[in-house]
Amino acid sequence: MQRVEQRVEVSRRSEGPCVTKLMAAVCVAAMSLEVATAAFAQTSSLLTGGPPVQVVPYVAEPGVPQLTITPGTANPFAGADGGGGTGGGTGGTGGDVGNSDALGTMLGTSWGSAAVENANALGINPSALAATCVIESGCQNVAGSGTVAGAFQMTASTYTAMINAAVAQNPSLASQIVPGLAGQMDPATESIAAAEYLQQGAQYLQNQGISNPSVLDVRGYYNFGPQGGAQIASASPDQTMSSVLTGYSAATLTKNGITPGETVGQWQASVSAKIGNAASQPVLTS
Amino acid sequence: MINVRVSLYMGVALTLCPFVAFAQGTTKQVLTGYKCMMLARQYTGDGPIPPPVPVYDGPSSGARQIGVAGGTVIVPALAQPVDGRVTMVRINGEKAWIDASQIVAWHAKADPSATCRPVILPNGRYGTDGGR
Repeated sequence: MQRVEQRVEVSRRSEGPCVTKLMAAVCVAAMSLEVATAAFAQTSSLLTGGPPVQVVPYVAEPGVPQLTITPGTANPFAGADGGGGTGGGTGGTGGDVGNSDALGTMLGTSWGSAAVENANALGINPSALAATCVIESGCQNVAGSGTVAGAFQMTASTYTAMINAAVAQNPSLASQIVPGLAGQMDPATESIAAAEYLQQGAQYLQNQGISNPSVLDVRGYYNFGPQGGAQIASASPDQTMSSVLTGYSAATLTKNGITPGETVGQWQASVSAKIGNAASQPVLTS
Repeated sequence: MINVRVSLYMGVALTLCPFVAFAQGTTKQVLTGYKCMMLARQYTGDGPIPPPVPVYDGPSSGARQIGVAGGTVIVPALAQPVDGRVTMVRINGEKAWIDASQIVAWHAKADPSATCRPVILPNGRYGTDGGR
């Protein structure tokens, strides 16, 4: 780094004011000719093949640790636009299964590809599973309060019930799980339980007449229960949460993070802001 | 050059805006002749979740269960029970029957002055609209 700075300094000294003016003129000309618009053509540095491109220094800097980025897995949906669907932040029906920012985040972890396989094994859109870990923990394997733990932040009792249900549904998953409650802190194992949880939620909403529940719909189900999930999924965006969740007291709404006067549309927008374009995608793939 | 481009983009965007809004759908259709009711056992956000309330394809005791009810139930404004059940409209627009004993007049615990009106939402779901 020091060497480069010295070079610049030397150049400035020797070139003088005329060269500086010439450089400025070239810059202005380049902008006029829209050479600079190439900046807009830069593609996203995320998602398409695991972690973003890393800067690799050719000269080691004393005191700076060498970082090694563990590559995730190439995104199987790279190039697919997962932003389909008619709902977006308005709780519409699920769009197309596909890529999402959330999926990119999950695939950036060492266990992301295993979680995608687990989602597929249970008929769950991997982006829906990824959205769950993004919103719960940022896809970090962390402890929570009480018995809540892991990248998907499930309680011990829910985790146990869901992992058992998943294995009963698809026995081939049994060989992939870390047994007992230790599995709760193994993200790949917990992803199986989380996928099962998503499946049950989506199927419950289907039983209520929602043909293709979106990630946003199922989020309402999990946050506010089976009755509340359907109430939110079938409410006008301009209705207040306090008028839609008919069984909730004002105190309970506050405890659940709902502010006075908050509308369904505002709540949906806040969830969508966290999980991005996964919000409108369907939870179920089959 | 840049100004020309920006103007062009803005022009195209302004031209397309009305169509985008139309494609997403913003109007809701009021379901006249229907009213909101709600399940008698409401989930309060605390404690156990009440058991699901089944809905059927007919009023008879032998009718097939076709699903479960959500927290809010849309029924004809002048619904009369048949064999203890009343008709309702599911979120997908399908007609179903629910035990009359399972539903009560609609009211919101946290907002007693709120009202509920059955509508068809822009996304095609049969749901609710509100007000005071």
